[in-house]
Amino acid sequence: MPLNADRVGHSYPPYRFEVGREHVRAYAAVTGVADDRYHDDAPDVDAEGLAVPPAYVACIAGARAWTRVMDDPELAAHDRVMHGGQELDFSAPVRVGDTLVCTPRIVDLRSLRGMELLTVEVACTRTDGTPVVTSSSRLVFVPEAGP
Amino acid sequence: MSGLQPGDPLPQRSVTIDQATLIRYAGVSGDFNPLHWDQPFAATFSPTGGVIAHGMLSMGLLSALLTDWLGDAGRVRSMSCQFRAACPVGAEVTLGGEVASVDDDEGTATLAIWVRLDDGSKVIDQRTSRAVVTR
Repeated sequence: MPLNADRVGHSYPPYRFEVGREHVRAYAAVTGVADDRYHDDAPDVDAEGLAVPPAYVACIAGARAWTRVMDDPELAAHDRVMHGGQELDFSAPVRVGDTLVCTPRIVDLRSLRGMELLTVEVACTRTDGTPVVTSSSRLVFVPEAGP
Repeated sequence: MSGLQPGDPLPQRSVTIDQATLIRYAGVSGDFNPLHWDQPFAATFSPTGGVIAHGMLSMGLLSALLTDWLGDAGRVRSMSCQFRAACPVGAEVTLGGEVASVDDDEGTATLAIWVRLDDGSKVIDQRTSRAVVTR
């Protein structure tokens, strides 16, 4: 069953994301950041205000936005899905200690070779509304094989 | 690192993507799509017929390379990656890039960035994947 194109333009409720030192440390470790400031346990290393690796935005704009999209009964998404492409546009760096307000929105849905391409944008701002980063994810939904 | 010039290369890295890597990445990112850990599920529609790596892990490896090379992750203005070849569990990937162009007015450099499998397949294709950074 196809996804519901009437959901293009729909925004989901915003959520708050706090950029924590230990979470950034875990992300830096699994992606292979070598810079000691992302790892060092020495008590004199102060990481407050350290800019996060850019693709850390996947943690900010990923799972919690994803839950809103996948749990939307009107969209009728399903779990046969892959990630086709990703854009990150920074108005300002994301830093350890930031609190961001993130609003997911469906911006496009199109068909390509029997698959459906859904574009989900997540706009992340400071709590006063100042833009910080926008994430745009292209998700590829693969239909069930025919009979 | 000021004064980036067209053709300047990024250092290359090679990384082996095993199942433990994907489990760690899922845990950190919160992306628990079973495509990345459940073989029977993945077999039903994965392009390789099996578990594949998160696209955002490949982008994350490039993000780590940029963070170390630039010395300040805050210099990254944008990143755009198209995920092409799927990366199977156990693959060794190599990643890198180079300065494709510079913009003197903006004070930025555009980098073409890539991730490849050892057979040359493009997981992230440098023809369509870019990072814009301050010079």
